[in-house]
Amino acid sequence: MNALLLVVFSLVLQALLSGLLPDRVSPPDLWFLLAVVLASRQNPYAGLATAFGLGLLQDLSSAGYLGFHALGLTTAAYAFYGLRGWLHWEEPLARLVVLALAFLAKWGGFLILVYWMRYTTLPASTWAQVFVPELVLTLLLAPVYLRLAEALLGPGEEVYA
Amino acid sequence: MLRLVYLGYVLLALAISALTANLAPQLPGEVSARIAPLFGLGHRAALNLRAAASTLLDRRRLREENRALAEEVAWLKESNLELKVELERLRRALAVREAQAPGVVAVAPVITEDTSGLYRRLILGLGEDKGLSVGMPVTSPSGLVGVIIETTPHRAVVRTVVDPESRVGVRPAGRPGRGIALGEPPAGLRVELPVETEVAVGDLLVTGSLQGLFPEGIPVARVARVLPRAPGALRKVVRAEPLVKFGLLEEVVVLGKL
Repeated sequence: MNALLLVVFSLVLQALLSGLLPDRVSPPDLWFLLAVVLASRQNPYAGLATAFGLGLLQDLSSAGYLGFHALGLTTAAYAFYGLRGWLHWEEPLARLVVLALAFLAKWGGFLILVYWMRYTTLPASTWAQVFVPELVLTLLLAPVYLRLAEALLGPGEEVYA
Repeated sequence: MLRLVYLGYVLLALAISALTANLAPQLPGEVSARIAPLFGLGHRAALNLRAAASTLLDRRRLREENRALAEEVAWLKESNLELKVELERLRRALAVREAQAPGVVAVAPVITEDTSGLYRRLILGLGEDKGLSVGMPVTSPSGLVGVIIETTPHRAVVRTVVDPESRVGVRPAGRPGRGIALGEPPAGLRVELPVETEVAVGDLLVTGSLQGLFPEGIPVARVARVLPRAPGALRKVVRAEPLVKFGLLEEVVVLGKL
């Protein structure tokens, strides 16, 4: 129930931040943070499924290509599980590194699907104007968001594959 | 194993995207429209916050605009006041020109008064550079003020009619009988008239000397008291009050020398 509340809260907050920030600035990706938080509290199989489902929901809500965000978030979740074996998710600095790399993986997923659909990659301007600000803002917001998520969901048991 | 699962999801995503590519954005748009209220909540809140911030900024802008307008109004008021003063000055000059003499040289501000207590002199804010020179009569719409006795490039000293050294040829308005009004500080005149002159308290005295310093007919003073005539006296003496309130003078009109 609290997880559902977190989903609703995250989506409302995402819309709020998107509306608050100027049009030129890409908002932080709360879908990504939500996927990571949910992945951190589930076993990898369930986490990947959740991330894929969230991504599909994001595709549907943004009226874009189905599978685009689904692949991105699934890739992020997969990277998250891989990175957790190398870095301690409980440590704040390591957590930021994990998030940054998982975020990069998300965009890797995007690249796969873009190339699949159009036989091309993302233009440099997208990286500069979308990727970088989105990454920075997401990492800036992450500590607060993760704390809120922890307050809402409780400490929880870390589940590993 | 997890890798295989992930690859499965990758393939699934690619398949979905390929299969639904022709439907995009119709199909997602349908769903998007249905779940829009959820996002709309945050979006509306954001818009309201932005509107509130914008309102605050607008109010700040309005305050600044209001301040600028207030400054402009103050400036306009000041200008208006200056114009009114200028208009009044010109009116006075015109009144003097019409009533007293055609030879107005300048309208000069009174900067200060002589502070000796004995003399009654005024310092004007104009001087030789504006054409003022010694001997020029100085008047006001109320009446005669005096004569210029000293000038500098930017200043002039006026000896008023109540100055003890002042001598002004006068006569009762509309009647014969020329005499001399001597200044009697601090604010009076002692007028010596021919004994035959008919004069009474309240009569107006105007300038009336022949070939004198002042033009004919400028109001000077009003008779306040007729002194009793001493036996054998050759002149009738009256005390008069000048028409001009020297302490209230702000500007005077300087006339050309006769």
